[in-house]
Formats: sequence, C-alpha cells, structure tokens
Amino acid sequence: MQSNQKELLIQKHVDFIVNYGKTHDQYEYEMSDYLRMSGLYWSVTFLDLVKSLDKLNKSEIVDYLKRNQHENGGFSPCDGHDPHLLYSLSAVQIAITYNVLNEINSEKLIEYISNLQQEDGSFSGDCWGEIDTRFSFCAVAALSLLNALDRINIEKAVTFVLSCMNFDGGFGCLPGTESHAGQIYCCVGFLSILNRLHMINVDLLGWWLAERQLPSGGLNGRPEKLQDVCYSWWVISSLKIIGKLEWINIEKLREYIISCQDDETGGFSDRPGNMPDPFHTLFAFAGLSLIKAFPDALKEVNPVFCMPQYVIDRVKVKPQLL
Amino acid sequence: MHGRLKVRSTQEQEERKRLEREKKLKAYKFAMSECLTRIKNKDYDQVGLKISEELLAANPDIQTLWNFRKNIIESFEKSLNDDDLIKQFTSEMNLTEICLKKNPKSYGTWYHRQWCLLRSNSKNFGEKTQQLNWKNELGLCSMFLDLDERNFHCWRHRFFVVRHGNLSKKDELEFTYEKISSNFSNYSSWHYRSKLIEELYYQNLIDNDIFEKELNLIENAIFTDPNDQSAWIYQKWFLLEHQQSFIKELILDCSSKKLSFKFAKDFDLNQNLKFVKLNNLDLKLEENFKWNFEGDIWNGNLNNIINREDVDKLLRNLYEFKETKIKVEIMLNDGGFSNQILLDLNFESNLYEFKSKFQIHDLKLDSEILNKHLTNILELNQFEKETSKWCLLKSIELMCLIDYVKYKDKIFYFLDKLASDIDSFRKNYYLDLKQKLIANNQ
Ligand SMILES: [Zn+2]
Repeated sequence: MQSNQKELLIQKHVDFIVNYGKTHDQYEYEMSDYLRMSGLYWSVTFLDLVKSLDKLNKSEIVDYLKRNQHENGGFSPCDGHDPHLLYSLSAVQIAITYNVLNEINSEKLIEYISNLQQEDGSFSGDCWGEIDTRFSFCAVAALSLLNALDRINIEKAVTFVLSCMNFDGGFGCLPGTESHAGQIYCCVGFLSILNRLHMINVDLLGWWLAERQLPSGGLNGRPEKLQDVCYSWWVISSLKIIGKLEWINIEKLREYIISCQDDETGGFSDRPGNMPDPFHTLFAFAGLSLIKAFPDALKEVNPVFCMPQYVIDRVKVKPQLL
Repeated sequence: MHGRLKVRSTQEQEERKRLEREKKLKAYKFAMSECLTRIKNKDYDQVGLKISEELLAANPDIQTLWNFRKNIIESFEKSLNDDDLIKQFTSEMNLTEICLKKNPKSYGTWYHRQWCLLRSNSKNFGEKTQQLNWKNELGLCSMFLDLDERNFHCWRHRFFVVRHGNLSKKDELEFTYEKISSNFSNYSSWHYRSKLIEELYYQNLIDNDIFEKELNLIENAIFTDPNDQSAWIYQKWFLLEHQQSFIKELILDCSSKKLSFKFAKDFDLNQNLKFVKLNNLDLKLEENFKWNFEGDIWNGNLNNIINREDVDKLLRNLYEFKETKIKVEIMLNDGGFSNQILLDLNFESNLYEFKSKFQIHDLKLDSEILNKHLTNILELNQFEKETSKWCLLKSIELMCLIDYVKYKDKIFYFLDKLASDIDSFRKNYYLDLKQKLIANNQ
C-alpha cells in the first residue's frame, strides 16, 4: 500500500489533488467546506510546485475568491460562512500565485486585517476576539504580500510575539503556553518578514528544533510526540529561516517523507499507512522542495510563505533568512 | 487529517458505507443551508440554536456556527432575564463539553467555551452556578488532561481559567508536581512549571532552596528514564536561568551610549570579558577601552569603540522604530557558553533593562549543588556505558558551566562521541558547538 522505494509518483499525486472530492473522498471533502479556502491554497501551491498549475480552472478559482470576499474586506472559507484571518491569508496567497490581485478588493482587505490588531499588538482571528500568534503571522504575511505593512503597529506586533517566547527558544500560541513547531514556524516567519530574526536565540531554538527528528527520519512537533509529515515542514522551514537546516539528517528526512506517499491513490498522509489528504500532500512536497530532494521535478519553495519562490520574487517580497 | 489508519474493506462494506455517508451528507447540507439562511437574515432564536447544536455535535470545527450561537446569545442578553440567561450559558457549557469529547483539539470549541465563561462571569453568574464557576472549570481541564496530558489546547484553557478566575498559582505548581510525579514524560507539565516558578519566585512566594529542589526532581526523572527528553529540556531551562542569574542587572542607555552590568559575584570585567554583542553586532572595543567600576556597577562608554558608526546606526534604528527589545550577548571568561539576554525598553526611563529572574544567595552552596549534579549525571553516564545521548550532552553543558578549562578534554571527547556515534543525525550540531566553544574561549 505504501511505498518504501525512492520513486516519487508525481503524476499520481497530481491526479489525487485534481480529483479530490470528486470520487470516493467526496464525503470528507464536502464535510470540510468550512476550511475550503485553505484547501484551495494547498492544492494551488502543490500544483504550482510540481509545475502542473494548469490542471486547475483558473477562472473558476478567481470567481471563488471574489465570491468569498465580504463587505468588511475579509475572506470566508466558503459560501455563506464568516470571514476569518486564516482564510484571508489563504485567499491572498492564491491571488498572488495566480497574479490576480487586481481581481479582489485589496484596500478593503488591508483595512480588515489592520482592524484586527489589538491594543497589545496581538491579532484577533476575527471579530470574536480569539488571540493566537498564528494570527499575527497571518496578518503580517498577508500584509507583506499586499505591500501594506505600514498599516499596522509593527513594534507592538513584535512585542506581543516576543512575549510568547519560551525558555526552550520556541514560541507558544499565547504568552505562557508551550512551544509547538507549528507555532514556532508562525513566529519565526513573522520575525523574518519583519526583519527581526536577531531576537531569536538561534543556538537554543535550532537545537530544540533539531531534536524533533526521530529515528524514523520524520519530525515531531513537540518533545516525546509522534512524527508527522506536516510537522516536518514546520520544523525544517523554521530551521531553514534561522540557517540551521544542516543540524538534522536530511537524507533520513527525505526517506521518511517518501514513505508517507500512498502509491495506490496518490497523496501523502501524516504517517505511513494512514489516509492521505491534500494538507499533508502539500507539506510533503514543500518539504521535499526545501531540502532540494527532486530539484528537476519541483520548483523552489519559499520557507516563510510556503509558496513557490518565483512568486515571492515576482512581488518583490524579501523575508529575512539567516 | 491526523492519525487515520487506512483500512481495507470489502465491496459490500464499501457500498454500505457509501449509502450511509450519502444520507449523512444530505442531512448535513440541508441543516447547514438552513443555518446559513438564518445567519444571513440575522434570525437569532431558539430554532437556530437547535439546528446548529446538532451540526456542531457532529462537526465541532465549523467556526461559523459558533459565531452564529454567539450572535444569538448576544441578542438573548437584551431580552432574557438572568435565570434564563444562566440556563442558556449552561447549555453552551454542555454542548462544548460534548463537542470536546468528540474532538478535544477543536480550536473553535475551546474558544466558544472561553467566550461563554468570560461573558457569564462578567455578570457574576459563576457565583450562582457551578457550571460557570472558574474553579469548577479546572475540573474539566483535569478531566481532559487525564485523557491526553499533552493536549495543548487544554493546557491553554487551563492558563486562561487560572488567569481570569484569579486562582492560586501555588495550587497549580502542586498540580504540575502531581502530574510530573505520575509520569515524568510530560513536557507540558514541565513547561507550565517553569512559568509558575518564575512568577511565584518573583512574588517571593517560593523558598530560596528552589534551585536544589528542582534539581532533585529533575534527577528523579532522568534516573527513571534517561532517554526521555522532557526533564532534560527542563533542566536546560533551569541551568540557563541559573547561568544568567550571575548577571543581576544589565542596562543600555541609548542617549548617553552607556552599557552597564551588575554581577552577582566579584570579578574584574576588564579581565574577564570575551565579547559583547548588541543585536548580534560585535562591539569591537578600542585597545585602551576600560570598564569603569562605580559602586557595584560596571559601566562602559560605547563611544570608545572601533566600530562606533555601526553601533550608532543600530542605536538610531532602535530609537527611530521604537523597538521595545534589544538582545545583548555577552561572553565571560569563566564558562564555555555565552549569555543571550533580551532587554526590555522601560518607557518611563527610556532605558533598555534586564533584571535576572533568580537570585543567588550563597555562591559556595550554589557551586556545591551544581558540582553534585554533575557528579550524579556523570555516574549515570558511566552506568549507561557512555551510550546515553542525554547524559553525554548534559554533562557537556554542565562542565562548560562549572569549569570549561578544567573539563575541556572531556567535553571534546563527549562531543566527538555524540557526533560520530551516539547521535549522528545531529552531527553538524555537535560539530558547530565544538567550533563555537573553541572560538568563544580563545
Ligand atoms: Zn500532520
């Protein structure tokens, strides 16, 4: 069922993504409409990385984007749902990748995002007030792609994120909470976009991140947890940003990622033998691209935005890398 | 999708499953469109609560439906009396509990619960009703931590409850002790413990022998299972804080360009400073540069340095962008590692300041405790026949902290062993560490 060979079945994965939701996985697909915009970003980015973006219908996607922008400027995951910062970032990433920013109302979106900044510099995910460093990342990532970072209070935003730094060099979702690789990716990416990587204790954080690699070659997200393909991405992109990717065993990681490939249906799962899905498929390929595992088949990925590097170059955004 | 095993099934099973799902999907779509219409029309009533309740119980991650319920409750607040409102909030607590049992990692559900707790307690409902009471809520946290002691959503909820309910931090410290004692492999508890100790120590609510006590707890854990990371990483925190506590105070005055240190022990900064960096910028001190000892403070004038222009630019940027933090890295003669310290801008004095979290009361006793800890770990290392990665690595860190020069050969021997044999996955980390130790201690 799963492959231990080193072959990467790109065509199968492309088919898996393009047909996702149309066949046996229709139920999963329809039941997850509340995160559809992010799902679209995973598919679009994956297909662009494997040079198959033409497999999706661009104009349908542009319509979908337009339809889901609300009056307040924010984007909802799907028709009729409420807007949220998470889906607003996904929408911007899709629009930038397709180079169709002019099709959405950027000014309204910028307004929506900057209005979500709180007095202490943190960001609320939507009008209901949930605070999380993930949302700080979403806000500055989207604003930097929209060339509008001057619309928020950067110093306060930085101060809040740094207040979530822990003794292990990592970051939690709120001040006082435990470090977590996904959260670290968000905070390191945030500091990279705002040119503040010097605030990080690179030796300490790099060590903690390198300790995420397990004997299987896969990486976990916190001490004494299981390995997972998506955590591989959160960890190695953070390591890449702080310039310490060589502190783990890249070859073993490559083997682990490929062992999560489902060579029957296509797609990648979190661990070998589990159900594949688009989320893990994107992060598997982003990981393979970052470690330059199949340089001829895969485009280069940007570690901060998890988007193709050529797209980031096109909008002239230059996140800091150590 | 996490941890979902792919199972093989017969064609018959497949078909049965398909029909069942088709039915469920149809029901889902129907109820969902009903809710979305009501959301659109701002129909906030009991019917909406009823339909969304069923949908959420099946799928707690639909954020929009939680928002819908919040809107309904807000509209009820204008019309219902307190007793009926309490009933409504109580039923939200019941629903979220059901949803959390289905998915204990549902962001939207945890947040809805917090929103309801805040909202109802702003009207002091928690005093009248057990289910809305802050202290009672700790019971729910404990229940979910019993199911999964690493559930960070639940830990986060616990911090929230303790903070807003103004509950005892000392009790929480005791709770982490119980958790850790029942299972040492619980990094979440160790983490929480670090935060609680910092806070309680700052408020003078824990005894001064905390240093010795924590090292004992750590040793208990690592002697039980030397291969579990949790206590070892906590130990790293403890030793880093300990190392930092030799620097009692650090102040950067940007306007007069003065850098000041106050140390917990007597020594001559002019003899003992290897390097100091501001935001990674190395200060290249002039040959005749002198740190002046005034009172108990060492002051350095940042005008007397070779790369003065770079420093000026850095200080100007700090000011211009109103940066609230600066990192100072300082390497002293007496240890293998440098200290990296974040200084906070004090808006009133306009100075960047750092004060160590912990105080060393008795230097001699302190060094005895540290040496004993090293002896114990080296013993464990022998017992493990030098194959335990963590024993090797932690001995290295301790030896650097205690006396780098004395232990230099052993440190390098252990580092090579780790890089080439015991932990070759992280070979480059150990090699870099070796290079850094050499460079730092030239
Ligand atoms: Zn995953």
